[in-house]
Amino acid sequence: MKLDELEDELRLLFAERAADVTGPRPAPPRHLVDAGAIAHTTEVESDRRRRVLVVAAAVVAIAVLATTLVALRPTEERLLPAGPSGPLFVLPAEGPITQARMFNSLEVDEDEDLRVLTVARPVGGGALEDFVQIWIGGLRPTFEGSGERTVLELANVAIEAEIGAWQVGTGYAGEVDGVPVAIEVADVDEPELRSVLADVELSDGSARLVDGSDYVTAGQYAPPEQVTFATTMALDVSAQRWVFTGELSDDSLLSNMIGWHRAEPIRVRGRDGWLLTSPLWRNAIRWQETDRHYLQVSAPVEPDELAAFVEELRVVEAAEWLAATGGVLVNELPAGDDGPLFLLPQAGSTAAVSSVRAVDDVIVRTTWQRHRTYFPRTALGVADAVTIGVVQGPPRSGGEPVSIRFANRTIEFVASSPIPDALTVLEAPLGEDRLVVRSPAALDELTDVLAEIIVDADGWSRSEDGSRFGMLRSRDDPVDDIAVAGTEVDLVVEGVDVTLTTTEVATQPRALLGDAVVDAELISVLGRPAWTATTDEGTSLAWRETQRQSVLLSGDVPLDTLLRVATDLEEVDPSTWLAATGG
Amino acid sequence: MNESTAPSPPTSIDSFYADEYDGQVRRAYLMLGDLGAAHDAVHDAFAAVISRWASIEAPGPYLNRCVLNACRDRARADARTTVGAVPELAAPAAPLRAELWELLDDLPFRQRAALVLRYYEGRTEREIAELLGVRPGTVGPLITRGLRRLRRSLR
Repeated sequence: MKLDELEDELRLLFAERAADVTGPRPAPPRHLVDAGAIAHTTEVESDRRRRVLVVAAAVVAIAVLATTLVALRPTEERLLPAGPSGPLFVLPAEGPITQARMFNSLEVDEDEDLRVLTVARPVGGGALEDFVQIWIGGLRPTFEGSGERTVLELANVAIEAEIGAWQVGTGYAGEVDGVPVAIEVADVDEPELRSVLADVELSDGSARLVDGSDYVTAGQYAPPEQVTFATTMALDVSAQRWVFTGELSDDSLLSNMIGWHRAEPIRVRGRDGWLLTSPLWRNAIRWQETDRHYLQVSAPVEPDELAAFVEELRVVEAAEWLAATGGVLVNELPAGDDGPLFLLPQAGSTAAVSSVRAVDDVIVRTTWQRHRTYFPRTALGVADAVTIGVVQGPPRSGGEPVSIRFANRTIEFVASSPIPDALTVLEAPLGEDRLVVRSPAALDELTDVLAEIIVDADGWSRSEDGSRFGMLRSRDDPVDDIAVAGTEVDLVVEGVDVTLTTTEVATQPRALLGDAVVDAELISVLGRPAWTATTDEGTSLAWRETQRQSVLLSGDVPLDTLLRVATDLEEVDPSTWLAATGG
Repeated sequence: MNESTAPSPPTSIDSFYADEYDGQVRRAYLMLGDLGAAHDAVHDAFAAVISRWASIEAPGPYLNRCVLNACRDRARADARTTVGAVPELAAPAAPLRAELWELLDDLPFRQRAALVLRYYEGRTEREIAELLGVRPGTVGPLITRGLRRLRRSLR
């Protein structure tokens, strides 16, 4: 395909896909018109076509909007019961809940089409100075703020938001009796939601669970002036609720907790724990080992199966875990009586301890692999995603080839230490090359590194002599931190050693091309690893012929031109070159 | 998405939201290939903007950066994680375009973002550089590389 054809296809593709997004259309992008058609029409015809398209799009948008408004128009409304100071909501008497409305001090135009359950603060009258959060369709608060004006604005914002929120989870938050409270109601149908709204009475400043099969998590937030979530969580088993205290440093914790919309208290290994169910097809078992540590095992399997798996685990101390994995922790883990406990699979188990991460609390995530299912997202993992992958197949001894799933790809590795202690040392048999990754901990950093390798997997090229070469590149600066494509190049990323060994040598691009390089890419030229680089002056192409000699082509021309020049070059030995040039 | 063409600041959050939301979702969708993720990214971005509403002089550009950052973060996270497959939008497309759509997932985020900004939004290299937070000289190679990779994969 020619380049201009590809560009046209991209324009059409983007226009098509953008048009898939429902809702009112924004101003049409500049390349909505079929570029191929433009080539065969005059400008006048093109403009006419554009106008026709815009008019047609407008008609369709109006029709869709009208249909939506009709569908969402409230039917007969009724007032739900509430406690003496509880929230009042008006919900449609029939049909799916598409709206809820704040009352009392919030004067909302009843003709407005509220689509999202927003915030209730019906107490008292007077100015509304509440901490408000509005949850729309995700596991994180979408809007937050305080003050009457903000509340109104946010409510209006919420009005505009998509009702698709209800599909996964929706919540509401507000202040009750001076205590800001957020409640998530996830994946419930209309009667359940009505029940929730009717039964949650928050007059005592805390949240009360709703009886019944569905579980409503409630967070007790810090005072409004802090408007923060907590990193320290107290799991109040007896009250069957999560209580959040403290200040924010990682709101993903809260998001995550609320993300579990169903929880049942269970006994786990003699301890009080929770069986959690997420709307994202996961089940998890979580329990508290100490006052500071939580353990969690999660997998997309049935709870019974998960519970059986948990029973197979054994708890070991940090030292044992480290000894088993040969690891060195990047971060100092807390020790002592409250020190971390780790889970290891029993001998013969196919489970693999995938990661340990030292944060304020030590959280052990155990990856489930009995079903050989890649389970990328740990139960705590909104922001974590530290699971590299799951070794597929039965346990292996060192040196056997295995494959893991990572970043939705299968990667073949040779484990130099037995699986399931793997993921501590892995070697990738990339021809003569070896990718060695050593890290028992800080797998989030390691994952970043691996992600870059994998993302650039296509960058692995094979030279004519069969060897491969590739590169690692930094996420932030693709040039400065390129440190690979040499022999035995070690890249240390925040304590994680990544060694990439190649048989070819390619110097870092700036060493070949100068400091003006703003971007570089490793390619193959005449069978050798070479850098293409872009500077402010143009494009350059450089490769190293020997340890001492480099070849550089550059000019203000497209790279393809440079490549053609390079391909046409004739290899000569120095004496021939000297004779030819008189040099 | 209008920092280049809409100099007058929005008067209220809701009008700002109404003006920007859909366009930002489209942009995020094209960059992420997942509508749910796009909505989330834009929501995250709006949350960031609104929390600083009083102190932001030009919320449009700020939102643009927030959305792009959110998309980038999600793209990175997606590169490390695989959640259950999300049903694709029902968008019957030509086989070539359907293949292209899939191939876009293999591009590094900045390359994909640059392609979207160029071929969907029609932005100049300088505009793209500002949005992506890179030097203008980097944009051309990003686009070239993205196109080359797509062409190579299409073969």
